[in-house]
Amino acid sequence: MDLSDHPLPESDVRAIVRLLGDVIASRGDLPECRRILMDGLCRIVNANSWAWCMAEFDPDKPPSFIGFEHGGFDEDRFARYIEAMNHPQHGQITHKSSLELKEKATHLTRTLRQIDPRMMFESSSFGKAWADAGIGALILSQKPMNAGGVSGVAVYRPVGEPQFDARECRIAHIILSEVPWLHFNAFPDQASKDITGLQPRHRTILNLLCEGWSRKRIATHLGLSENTVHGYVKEIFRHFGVHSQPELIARFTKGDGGDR
Amino acid sequence: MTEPSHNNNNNELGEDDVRAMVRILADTVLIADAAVQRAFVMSEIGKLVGADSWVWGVSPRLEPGKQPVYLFEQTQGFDDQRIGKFLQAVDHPDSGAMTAPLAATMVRTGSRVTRDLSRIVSPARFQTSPARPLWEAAGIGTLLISIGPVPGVGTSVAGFYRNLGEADFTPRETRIMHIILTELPWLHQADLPHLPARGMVALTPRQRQVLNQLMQGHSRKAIATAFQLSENTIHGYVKGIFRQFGVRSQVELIARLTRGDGGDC
Repeated sequence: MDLSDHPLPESDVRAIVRLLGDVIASRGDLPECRRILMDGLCRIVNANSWAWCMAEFDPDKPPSFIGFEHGGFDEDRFARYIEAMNHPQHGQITHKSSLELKEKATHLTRTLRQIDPRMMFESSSFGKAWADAGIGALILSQKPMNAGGVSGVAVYRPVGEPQFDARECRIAHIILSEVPWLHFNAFPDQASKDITGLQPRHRTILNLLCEGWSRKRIATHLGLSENTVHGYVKEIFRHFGVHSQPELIARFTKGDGGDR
Repeated sequence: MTEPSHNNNNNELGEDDVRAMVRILADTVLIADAAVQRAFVMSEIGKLVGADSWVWGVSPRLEPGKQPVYLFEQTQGFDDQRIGKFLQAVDHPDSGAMTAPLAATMVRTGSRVTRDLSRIVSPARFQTSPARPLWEAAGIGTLLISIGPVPGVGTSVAGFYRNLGEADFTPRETRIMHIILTELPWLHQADLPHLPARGMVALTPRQRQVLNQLMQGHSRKAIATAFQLSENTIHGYVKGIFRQFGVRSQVELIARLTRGDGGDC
């Protein structure tokens, strides 16, 4: 996206400075600062929701995500979003763009059209999963982390709204690439490698467990019996060597617990 | 409301400028203390616009027709000698006369005004100003001033300076400064001595200069040397200043004027 010849309108520069000023004045912790910044970015580029997560960085494996922070989603929509993220076709459709990220090993910001130039998205069940999550247009910014893994932040628009234009992409890219702490977390990179060993269904349940959902609620949401979910949860616990949901959450958010 | 921007092609900010501004502010998030945040923003934005030194403070009196009064809370790039010279240059009546239109604009529009030297006075006016030798003695060639009202408490003042022989600040650099200073309201409020500084208006011009030196932490001896006065004379000024603010020591004075500790003035 090369627009550097055109100056940004002063009103946009002011809005960006004001937003960062609000973040500074909040004196919040890192998740709070991230929330204020991303909520504000959504307002400037007219998006309705955002999410941040860490991902495994290997184009040859199915992508796996953990450590979500998000805004503008209600719980049900976010659960559908997690299902879309863990959809089996995700890796295939984003393969080319993952390869590019690996080759360039630099911060990239892209729209849906750039990630999926052949428009496989619209005609696939993957695309349907995103539509079910209420997501039409998106801007995704991915940053390879030194310790391994990729930090990804995205802003989303509802289905039926126009794509993000060049100006909006540029504002998003400037903020998402020049604020280093946006991509920081106590998230252990080893855990992101570990979750590729899980099946998509397990990963969806893992993500919902990390959101603090009960097994009963997960079962209802996914249309499974509690027994079935219980079986998945047991396998997930065994996989990570933990004995409870709080222990699992701690593993992913604070990096507690044994090394693997 | 903000001052209408003087839009032309050479004061538009490029993507590099915006990126640099975002980077500075993103780093500021990691600093806990408000005064340190302000010093960091000033220092980094100063580097971005190529300033050699800067001052930050409040003005309990900044109105056309009256000699402006400043209390400088944070400065960078000045040593003992130079700050004394700078204070004398600022306090020269013609410096006040030259900046009067700036103050008038601020009062009239009720909003922040940021200008480089060439938009404050004509080069000829500055060259022939009786204050000019004082600015030269302070090693200051050109400047960029930004003044803005802080509702209910006073006026916030920032000055950026370049050494003798350097080029004026450009409209682009002035714009960067103006945007940063306009869009970050907390920069002008947190820990600034707006109210205590009002006591300064009752002081003589010389006492105000000495007060600004005391605020920098300078000793009476150093102040005497800087102003080429005897220590005894300085001692007399200091006594008058202490009396005005009801304090007994320099430490108490600085505490009163930076944090508003103790009695009202």
